[in-house]
Amino acid sequence: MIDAYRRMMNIEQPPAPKAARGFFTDTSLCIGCKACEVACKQWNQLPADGFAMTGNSYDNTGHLGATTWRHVQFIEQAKANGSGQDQRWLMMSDVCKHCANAACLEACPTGALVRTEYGTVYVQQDICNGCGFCVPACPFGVIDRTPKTGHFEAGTAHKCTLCYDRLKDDMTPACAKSCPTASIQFGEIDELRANARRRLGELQARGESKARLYGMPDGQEAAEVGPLHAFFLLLDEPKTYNLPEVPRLPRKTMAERYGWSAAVGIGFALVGALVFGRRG
Amino acid sequence: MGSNMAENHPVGFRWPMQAKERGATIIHVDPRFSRTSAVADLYVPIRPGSDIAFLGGLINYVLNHDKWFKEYVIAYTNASSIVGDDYVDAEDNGGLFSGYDPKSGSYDNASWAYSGPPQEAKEDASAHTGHGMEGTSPAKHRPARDETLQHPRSVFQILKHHYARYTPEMVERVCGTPQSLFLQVAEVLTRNSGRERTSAICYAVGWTQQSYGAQIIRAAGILQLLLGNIGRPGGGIMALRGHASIQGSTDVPTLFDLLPGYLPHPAAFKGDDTLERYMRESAVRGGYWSNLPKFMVSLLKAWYGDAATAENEFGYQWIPKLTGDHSHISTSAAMADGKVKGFVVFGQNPANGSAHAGLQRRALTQLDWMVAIDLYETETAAFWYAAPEGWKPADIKTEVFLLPSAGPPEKDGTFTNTQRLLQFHDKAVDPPEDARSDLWFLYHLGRRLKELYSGSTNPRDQGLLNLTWDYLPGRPNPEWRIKDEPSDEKVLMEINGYTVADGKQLPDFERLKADGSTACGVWIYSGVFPGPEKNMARRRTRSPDNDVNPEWGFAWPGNRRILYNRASADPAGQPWSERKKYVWWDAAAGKWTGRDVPDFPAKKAPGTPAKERGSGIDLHSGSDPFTLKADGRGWLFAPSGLKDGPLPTHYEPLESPLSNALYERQDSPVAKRFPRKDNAISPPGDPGYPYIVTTYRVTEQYTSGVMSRWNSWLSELMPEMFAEISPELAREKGIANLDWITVSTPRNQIECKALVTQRMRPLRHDGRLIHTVGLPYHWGYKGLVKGAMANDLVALSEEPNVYIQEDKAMTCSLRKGRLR
Amino acid sequence: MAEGYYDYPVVKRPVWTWEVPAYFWLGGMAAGAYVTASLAQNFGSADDRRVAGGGYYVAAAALVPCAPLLVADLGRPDRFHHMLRIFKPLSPMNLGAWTLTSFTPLAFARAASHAASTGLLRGPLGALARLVPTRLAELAGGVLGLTLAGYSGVLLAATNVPLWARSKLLGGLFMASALASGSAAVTLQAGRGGVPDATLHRLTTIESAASAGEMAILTGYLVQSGKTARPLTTGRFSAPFWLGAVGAGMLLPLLLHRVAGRRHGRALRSLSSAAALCTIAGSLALRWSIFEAGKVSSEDQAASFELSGGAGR
Repeated sequence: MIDAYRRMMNIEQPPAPKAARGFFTDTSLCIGCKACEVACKQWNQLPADGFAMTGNSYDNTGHLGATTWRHVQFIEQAKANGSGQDQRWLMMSDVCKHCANAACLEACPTGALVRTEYGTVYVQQDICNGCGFCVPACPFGVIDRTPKTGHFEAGTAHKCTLCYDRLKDDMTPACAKSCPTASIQFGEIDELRANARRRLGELQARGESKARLYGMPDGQEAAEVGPLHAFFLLLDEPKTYNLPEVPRLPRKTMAERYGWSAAVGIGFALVGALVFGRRG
Repeated sequence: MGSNMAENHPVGFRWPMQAKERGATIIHVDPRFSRTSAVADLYVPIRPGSDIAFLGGLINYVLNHDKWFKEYVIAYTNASSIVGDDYVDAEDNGGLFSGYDPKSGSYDNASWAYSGPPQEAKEDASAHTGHGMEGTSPAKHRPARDETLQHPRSVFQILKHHYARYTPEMVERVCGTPQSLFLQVAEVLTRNSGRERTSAICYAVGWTQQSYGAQIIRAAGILQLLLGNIGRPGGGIMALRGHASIQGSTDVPTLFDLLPGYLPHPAAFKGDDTLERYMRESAVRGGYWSNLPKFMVSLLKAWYGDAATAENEFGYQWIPKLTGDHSHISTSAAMADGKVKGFVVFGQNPANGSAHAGLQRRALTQLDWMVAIDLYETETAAFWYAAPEGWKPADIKTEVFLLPSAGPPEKDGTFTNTQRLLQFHDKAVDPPEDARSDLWFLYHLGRRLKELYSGSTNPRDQGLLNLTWDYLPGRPNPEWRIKDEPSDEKVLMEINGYTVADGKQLPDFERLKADGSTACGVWIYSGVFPGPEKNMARRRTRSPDNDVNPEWGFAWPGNRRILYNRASADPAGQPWSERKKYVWWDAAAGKWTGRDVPDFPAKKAPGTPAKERGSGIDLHSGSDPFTLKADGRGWLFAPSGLKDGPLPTHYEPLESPLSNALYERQDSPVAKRFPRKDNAISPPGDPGYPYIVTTYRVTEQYTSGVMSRWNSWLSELMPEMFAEISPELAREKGIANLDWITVSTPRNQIECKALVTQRMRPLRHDGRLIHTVGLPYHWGYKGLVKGAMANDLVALSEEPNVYIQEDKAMTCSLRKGRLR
Repeated sequence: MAEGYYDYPVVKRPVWTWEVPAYFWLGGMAAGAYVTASLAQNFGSADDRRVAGGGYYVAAAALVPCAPLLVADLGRPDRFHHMLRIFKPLSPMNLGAWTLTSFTPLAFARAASHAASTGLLRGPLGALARLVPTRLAELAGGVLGLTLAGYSGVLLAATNVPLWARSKLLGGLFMASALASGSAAVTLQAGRGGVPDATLHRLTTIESAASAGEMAILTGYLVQSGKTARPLTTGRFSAPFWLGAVGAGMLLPLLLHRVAGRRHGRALRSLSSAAALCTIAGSLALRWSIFEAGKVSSEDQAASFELSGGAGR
């Protein structure tokens, strides 16, 4: 009976956990070639999102989405009428953060979103029923649902899988594999964090005063969503890259919100009982 | 400079990025703040077309501040050579060198020769055309020299005099580059050159696609020679090629004026009537080019096999002789005039990708037939119904055939890229349906033509009939559906060469003979396939203890990774420094050794004096590293080989908003213009066309878009044609970001979106603000994404040495709004 | 110039469509009606108990479209049962699915039981319905109903949409709105006749309490949301919000109740019915305007930064 239920609902025993894997995206090495975007779409056979120019520097992608799992940002910084030397063109390959406490995963009512044996967050396409709750739950605006009538996996939630299929075969995720300058580094998370700390030290020693890491365990951004399995070395404030300073995990405030709701309900019940109980 | 490496060679750019992490300084000198500038340590703006002024400024700085590498320059360059009495420098002649004939618009370079003993071979540089000329220079191998460099006509003094006015102030005036930035470049470059350190210069078509492109590269050569950065690890001038294997396509050339291996193509107008005369005129006594007869005869043996005999000049007469300029641009002009009947176009898209694309399209309408072979239906293949001119198919007389070709993974082959490294790749999958490799098309076309003409006794058919044409594999690969695919390895084996008697593969080009006993398709590639099953281009072995990685692929010539690497050791054969140790003389073993294959006779000791008699590199001493040069030296001054002067000189582009601040002469005196009604060029300072316009590529698309605009993943990344303009220009013209604008030159006008960006900055010249408009050229009228073609705006013109159009610096006008 | 990345939103726009606010409204009303009916049943006089039955009918009727609406909103409606694949109360969506799944049959059973007791439902079904333990159904249904009424606002609040997430009170607000509309539905049903004025007065009092509570919570909600509430209080959704949810949904019923409190008979019935209709309509307007304004708010980069700014939480 239970077995039959498990079969009907596609419930399987999860594989044994392995060393956590992730991405360290070092934006100081990014040359904005977008090879990661193309490699991702090719490996995962994601459709193009349309052909329109945004006018926002060389970024014609705009944002991550259901069918865009890597996105290179282009941030032009210059003082008007400056000499050109104060000018910066920051590039950053954005991706799902694979949060340690993932809002999408917590929101998911079906268990389609799971944490894999590699510590990554993964949408099981055969489970997801497209309820859409993960979409606004994500504090980074990563996950999205495909249109119900699209030709690509219609109506379910999608985001970076950290190339779960490639990991299974001990292969590097497509984006990291294609990155020519090692801006996207893939590996075991502990090793990546050590690299990141060393790299930050180097950059700071070189005078990159604004350089900082985003998504390390000790960062304020990890306060709620926990350390990010896809974390970044940034050359400016997180906001510059549309990253929240302290990404929120909805669970953290849920009890309080339920509390207020319950209080109203109980209050009403009391009032009702009182009013009806007064008997004229 | 002249390269946007991060955007156009992103995979190769991993190495500069790694070098940067290891402490290298990256300087990007470019009109646009590009993705390369973004990661460079120093971005230096420059006006398009002013590169020689900038480099000349650096040369002047090096000479003035005594920053040149004295031992290197005196021993390894022609600084001490004395130029003949008749020579007049451009500095003293309003920007023209001696020997200029205004009527023909060309130079007679006789007066540029070294003084010294009479020359042994006829000096006739200007008669020879093309790249090949550089290698076969008949310049004297024993010039008079003054090692003190004090002689007023020594190359060193001429150089100093020539660049004396290229001061930082002048650089700022001409290039628009702030002096402080220019000086910063000069300081970094000189500080980072010498015994202990070397600097490299990378360039690409940002230099070559100018009316004096070869001279810009020459200027970089002079600078690098002065700083001792040639033939040494970490030095050099890297030509970043525009496409995959473009290096390969000049080595085994698709160029009209060269035979394989940079042998000049025989020309009727030079009197190359007989093989003997061709070889006498082309070979030089001094230097390695004295071996040219061996290369030529071996080539003829490879082509004509047993039919090539000493009696019939090894089939020399079967090679068609040049009758003039048959470059792409000249041919297109002739085609537009109805002088070309048929056209086979492989992997090229002139209707979009070539200069003056509108004229190119019109030229196609004049053909009787055209065969287009490509991965997709190109703009060229579709001109008859889809061109923006709106021609009716019924009015087009050209019969068009479109044949589908195979992509790189669908065929075997080699890539030869910037570093001259041959890398073989294997076919992964059969091409779909009727698509076939280029080799398949060429092989079977040849086979069928041979069948068609078999039995003909017409002399002009004998070349075709006698061609060796045996490229089918012994046994087709059973894995593939296509069974009649020729074998790339068989072709590569012929390229490598073999001894005629026993058909044994040659180990290297040293074994080539001029008596017909050896055959070799491309002498510089000899050694790539030294035995059966020994395809060196297949090698992928890393060498952990040698970062040269000599067992990865095969680099021509003879697997040398750095040319002229004898210069990495001092005249006595010892490394200049421990840090820059590369190739050196091992006195105990009596031979040259090191991390790379020495580019020098293996057993020629450093102290060996030059022989008085004989030929070839025996005429060079043991400390003359530049073995291909007649005098064995690096040329600061080029006594021959270039059609536009012995020293790079700043001229304005053919179209410029400014007049030449350095010379009376405005623009290149020998660049070829095509004065046609449909090819108007705006005069200097034309107020109707006040802005500079430059064309380029972006990472997301590839050349004219044939290989990228049919791919949705690439097309979505750069979906629309745009022009990059500065906020200042946008304000002046009332243009907002993403507004439609129209860009015009006297040739044509195009409409596109405006991308207003601070990365484009106007530069100040004599108080005047000069704007530059940037145009990528990836769009066209076929593909998933379409848009206007930047090449519609470009003029037909030719750099005199290599026949390249000038599209990096033109002038344009600009207005808000669409075409009409 | 935006302080973030161009003017791109930080978070994704919710993909939900009109089915969701419609479901929240109907589900909330059903729950409110059930709770009100159960309160009347257990605490009220014999007259009061007469309205309870109608309340259960209303609850059951309002629940009929709920599940279809919820299923229709899914990207893959054929997989609606995956909601019940696991029990995960941490996810309000999962909790809501389980609650609706258990509350719906309970409410139907209670309504059927009532129908059986009045003789409306006969035969074997009636016999079966008579077996329903009414007290237990009322208690359990009350708890489930309150959960159903209360989780929807929390669900929206458990996102990173600034308008929904910034205040602590959205759950309470939706709860109050559900109870107001639910009690109003009972009133409306009762107003059709046969119910003494006293009972109607008691119902309008309860309704008023709910509306007043809703009003107070809404004030708190707006204060807590601050500038974040602008997509709701200004712009496209300001009319449905101010006129519909606040004006018609809270102020007008409060006023009508005040007037109705001193009236009897036909006037009372008319006034209370009008007030109930207003409340019910206002409840829909509230859900819909907050829901739709939330989508706009999701594109508000500055509000997102404020929400995740670390401070002010």
